[in-house]
Parts: sequence; C-alpha cells; structure tokens
Amino acid sequence: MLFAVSILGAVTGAILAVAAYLTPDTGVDGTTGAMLAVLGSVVLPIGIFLSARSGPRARWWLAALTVITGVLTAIAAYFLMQNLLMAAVLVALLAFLIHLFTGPRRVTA
Amino acid sequence: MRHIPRLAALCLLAASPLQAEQPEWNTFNGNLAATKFADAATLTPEAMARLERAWEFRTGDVSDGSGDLPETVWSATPIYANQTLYLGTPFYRIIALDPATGAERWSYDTKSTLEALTQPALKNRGVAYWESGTEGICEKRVLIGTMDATLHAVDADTGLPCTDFGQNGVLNVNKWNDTNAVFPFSLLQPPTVVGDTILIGWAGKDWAYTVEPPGNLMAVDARTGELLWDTGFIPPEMIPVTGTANIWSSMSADPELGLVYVPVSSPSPNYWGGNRTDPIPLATSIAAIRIDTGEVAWSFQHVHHDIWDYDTPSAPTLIDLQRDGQTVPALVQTTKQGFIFVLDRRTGAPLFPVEERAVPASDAEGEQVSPTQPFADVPVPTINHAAMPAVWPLADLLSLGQCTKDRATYRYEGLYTPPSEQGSFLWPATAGGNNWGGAAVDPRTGILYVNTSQVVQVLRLIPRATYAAEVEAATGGGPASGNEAGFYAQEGSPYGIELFEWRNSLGLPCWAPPFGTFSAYDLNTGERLYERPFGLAQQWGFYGLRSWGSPTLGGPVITSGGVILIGASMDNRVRALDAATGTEIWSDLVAAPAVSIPAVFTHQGADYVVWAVGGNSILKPRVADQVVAYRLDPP
Repeated sequence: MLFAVSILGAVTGAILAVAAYLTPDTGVDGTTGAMLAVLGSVVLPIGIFLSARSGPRARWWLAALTVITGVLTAIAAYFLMQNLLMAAVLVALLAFLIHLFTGPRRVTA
Repeated sequence: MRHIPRLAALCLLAASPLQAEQPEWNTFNGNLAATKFADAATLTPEAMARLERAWEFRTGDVSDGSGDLPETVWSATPIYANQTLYLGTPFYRIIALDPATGAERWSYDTKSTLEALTQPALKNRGVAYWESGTEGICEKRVLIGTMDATLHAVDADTGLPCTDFGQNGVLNVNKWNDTNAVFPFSLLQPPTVVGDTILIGWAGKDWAYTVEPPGNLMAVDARTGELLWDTGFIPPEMIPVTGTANIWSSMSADPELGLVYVPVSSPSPNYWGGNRTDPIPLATSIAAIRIDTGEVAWSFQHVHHDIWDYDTPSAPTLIDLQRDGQTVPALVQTTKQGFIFVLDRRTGAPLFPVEERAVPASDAEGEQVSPTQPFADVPVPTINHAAMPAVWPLADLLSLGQCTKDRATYRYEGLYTPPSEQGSFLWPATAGGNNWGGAAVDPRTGILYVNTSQVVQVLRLIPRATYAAEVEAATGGGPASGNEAGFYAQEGSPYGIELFEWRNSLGLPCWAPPFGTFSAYDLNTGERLYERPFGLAQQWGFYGLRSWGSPTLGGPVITSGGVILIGASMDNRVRALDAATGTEIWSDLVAAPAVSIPAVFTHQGADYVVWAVGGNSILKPRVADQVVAYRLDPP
C-alpha cells in the first residue's frame, strides 16, 4: 500500500512538473528551474521502483539517492512556488521512507 | 422646509468617498498633474478580495527577438476615454476595446517599420487622447507615435485617419530632425496633450554617438499638426560637439500656470563629457516651459555635467503642499539617483534644502567632472547613498569569493563616482533607482508612493584604440550589446564602454538584497513613512525570498480607497498593497512582468483596473501581449 502511495505521489509530481514547465503563463514555464523539477520528479518514481526491486546492498544506495533527489525536487518546487508539486513529492517521499523501514523486504537468494 | 435635511443628506451622500468615481484615465499618468491618483473609493484594502479578473485580450503584437523581428518592450498605460479603452502596441497599432468585455471595437495599423532604429527593442508606451469638446468626426482623436518618427491621429470612434492632421492623418515629425541627424526621432512615449496643443518629445539611440540630434520639445496644433514652437535644450554653440538632452519620458502640466514640466535627459555621449565641458544648464534637468510660447520659465538641474546617464526619468508630479499654514503649488521629481526633489512649481525653488557637495574627480582622458553635485537629504533618498550594498555572502560563497574580489577591483567612492578604465560601480544603476514609472501621490494627504530598484552595475571605459579588439574577443563577432547591457561605441569620443550588472559567474547578484523596495513619504514633512521589500526576484524560474524584493520597471497607482495598484516586478505578478502599511493584500499571476502603469477607472458603475502586460528583458527574458482587466462590482 505504502509503496503504491509513494509511486502514485511521485508520478503525480512528475505530471505536475511537466505541466508547470509546458503550460503557458505558470510563471515558471520554459524555465531552467522547472526543467530541473521535471528531471527530479521523473527520476523519483524510477528510483522508488528500482530500490524496491533491488537487492539489499543496492537498495540502500538507491534509496539514499532517491531521497536526495526527492528532497531537492521538493526544494525546487518550493522556490518555483509549485505547492502541489511540492506536496506530491513530499507525500511520495514520506510513503517511501515508511515503506523502506517498515515494509516487507525483498529477499534475494 | 422639511426637505432640507433630505437634501443635505443627499448632498453628503454625493460627497461621500464611497460614491467617488474615476470617470476617465485619459493620459499616461492618469491626469496632467501626473499624480496617478484614482478617485475610486470602493477600491479599498477590504474590497480587494472581491476584485475579479473580468477579461483578457491578446494583441498578437509580440516578439521575443528569436525570429526576424526585434524583441518587444510594451509599457503602455491603457487610456480610458470616450467610454472606450485605447492601447498602443509595440508594432505601433492602436487597438480600441470595450472596457466591460475586452471585445475589439476597431484597430488601426500605422504600418511603421518594425526595426529597432534607435532603441534595442520595438517599444511602445501607449497612446494619447484629444477631444475638442464638440461632436463630429475627428473631434475626438487618438494619437500614436512610431519608431520611425511619425505621429498618427485617428478618429476615436472609428479608427479612421483624421485627414486634416499632417498629411492624411500622419505627421512626419522627422522633418524637424535637421541637425546631427544620426538617428530618427523615435516617438515611443505618447505625446502630452494640453488643451489644443500636442507636446512632443522623442527617444534616441543611447550610448552610440558623441554628436547627436540636440534635444527639443515641439508643440503642434492638435487639429492640423502645424508646428507652433520648438524649444531646444542644448546651447546653440555646443550643438556641433554634442547632442540629446531630449525628453523621452512623460510630462506633466499646470494649465492654470500655463506651464508644462518636462524631464530632460543627459547630453551625449552619456558616459564621457570631455567634449562638452562648458555648462549645459538644461541637460538632466526639470524644466518648466510656457505652453503658449515655448519659453523656458525656469529650470532645475539635478545633475551637473552628467556622465552617468542619470536622465530625468519621469513626469514631475504636481501637488499642493502645506507650508507654514500656506498652500504651496509644488512639484515632486523622483530620480534615477534616488533623490526626491520637491520644488515650488511656480519658480523652481526647492521646498526642502538642496546642498551642493563635493564629488570624486575623474582620471579619464579629457574629462572635467563637476566639482559638486546637488544633494537632498529630505525626503530621505530612495537609495542609500551612504554606502553601496554589501557583498552578498551567498553569491560570494557560491563563486568562491568572486564578488569580494570584484568589490576590490572596481572603483566606488560614493554617489557620482565617475566612469573609469578600471571599471566603476554604478550605484544606483543607470536605469535607477527610480525610472519612468515615477511616483503616485494622494493629493488629499500629500503622501507619495514609489517603487525603487536596488541594483548595482559596473561601467568600464574602454580606450578607443583597444575597443574593437575587446568587443571582438568578448563576443566573437556576435551582437555587442543587448537591452541596456554589453558594449557600446560612443563613437567620436576617446572611449567606448562596457556595462553590466554586478553578478557572479553563476549569474547571481553580488550585492546583498533587497533588490527592490516600495516606500511612502509624507511630502508635507519629508518624513519617510515606510520602506519595504517589494515583489519577488526570479532567476532560472526560482523565486527569491520576500525579504529580497525585486527590481522594478513601471509605476504605481493610488486609489482614494487607500490601495496601491502596481505590477512592475520580475515575477509576472500584479499586486494591490495597503497604502497605509505597504503590505501586500492581493496579487494575480500574469503572462510576463507588467512593466507598465495600470489604468484605473469607473465604467458603467463598476471600478476597473487594467494592465498592459508586455515584459522587458532588462528584468528577465519574458515578453507578452496580454491586456488584463480586473473589475470590482459595487457591493
């Protein structure tokens, strides 16, 4: 469930970031900052997915990189005044972190 | 007899502020006094929550400069007159709109050349309006100027040319450009109409030449375009060696005194004055000109021997002030260098002390700076002249100390530090401080409201012998300059120049914020009531903190209900501020920086605020063609 919420939040964030970049007159459309937010929010669900699917060693490295990406994307969203994007990314991050520490672990042989 | 109380009540109601209406907004600054005061009492801080976007209109006249056309800069004040909204566009068209719906009624195309003949962009600040007071074709006219120096007059009801004006409705103003004519008289600022007289200033090509057309003010007949008089601002004996001192901004007028008040710019070249060491008393001055004859009644020069391009940037604002129990007809001039000069508009005598103070000397070849310049400590300047802003630690850290190194490299010895070969800081920047948006003044209280850019630039003189090579090395043969930044030749002088904002290698400002402020002053006492950061700076799309503020272009309007209405900031927002405190109470996102003065008026019982949203790459590279109207219906 938490994994699904984190993926859903991250994908929602990616859609919002793309909309902020492409929609005319958002105040940030076509800007470098909005493009960075797009990159961050596209990488975020990929990172969440891969870290859940990877082995124990890679899992923590991927999780750390995913969290850093998410935090930077949320900060970017804050300074782009894209509050919905920031909220979606934070929900995704929170769900991901809870899932990471409390959810079922993938066991590799 | 018993009707008297009811009559009295009705009279009181009629005089009540809540019944106040702004029936027209028929000049660039709202009225000839340039107060930018709207008698719209329903526009109160409390009512701003009910202010709604009524409509928007796109003119289609916009260019970001990436194609065949130069970029556009659109700073038009919409004109509300004849129950119609009139706009000039940067493609030099007039568009007439229904104020209630934004529906187009007619448009007129001047078919002007769309080339940046003088300014670096296609630029327009709107239209002017004249009416005779009688009914008939062309008894109401809308006037627009063009980059290539023609003035067009069309009927306000139909948009058809007024054939009795000039030649078939077109006056070739450039026919009077007969001295040192290295560029045309670009008519970017709408002319000022006083009675049946049209007063025309013009814009030139900054920083390009040493010998240029001498600045003048022309008066023409509103019906025929016939030249009534022409007053020059460069002494005749100096015309062979210099030029400009033109009027590129708006003007104000007092028809009772028979005077028009004009903001005169600096002489050429702008950043070196070795060719013009004799006095030019009318350059960088406020001049009062008799409307009927063109005679100079008085003038007040606020920069002697200007080598900073600190043009007088805006129309002086006319207001009556209280002094020792007497009402004094006054004039208030905000300036690029941040001084607020308050003068008696009958004589030009300062109403607060103005002191000549020693300023730094120049080491540039042939330069002879003025040993003193006028300083006015009251009202407190909008720029802190006591010290340049400190190095911004964030920008310094991110550039590994570049800002600190720059601070030690370039020359700064206070206001009026002269340009130099080592590079000198311009604080305030060449665009000010305060620019063409000017101030708004509530004539009932004598309180002035003004937005200020807090920007530091660096100006470097480049000896002629090495100028071409330096430009080639820096640009690789590309464009030498953009919109008020880059390399400029100052042909005919010993120096070209390089001008740039003081930023680190990442593009962040090297000076500590705020980058823009909004202030209020009591002009009766000179006291500053408040100064607050205004707007949000923006870079790469990221907004700055509120405490950083934003540089601004454009001006404020004050309503009788106590609201300031202003765009002007970098962040694509138009705002309402509580005039009593300067705090933001309403804002809306628009398509680009609204580098314009809004029109505020009452139409069919509702109050409207209309902005032209056009952008200016001086603030950031975002242009638009949006007209956006907000309506406040009666409660």
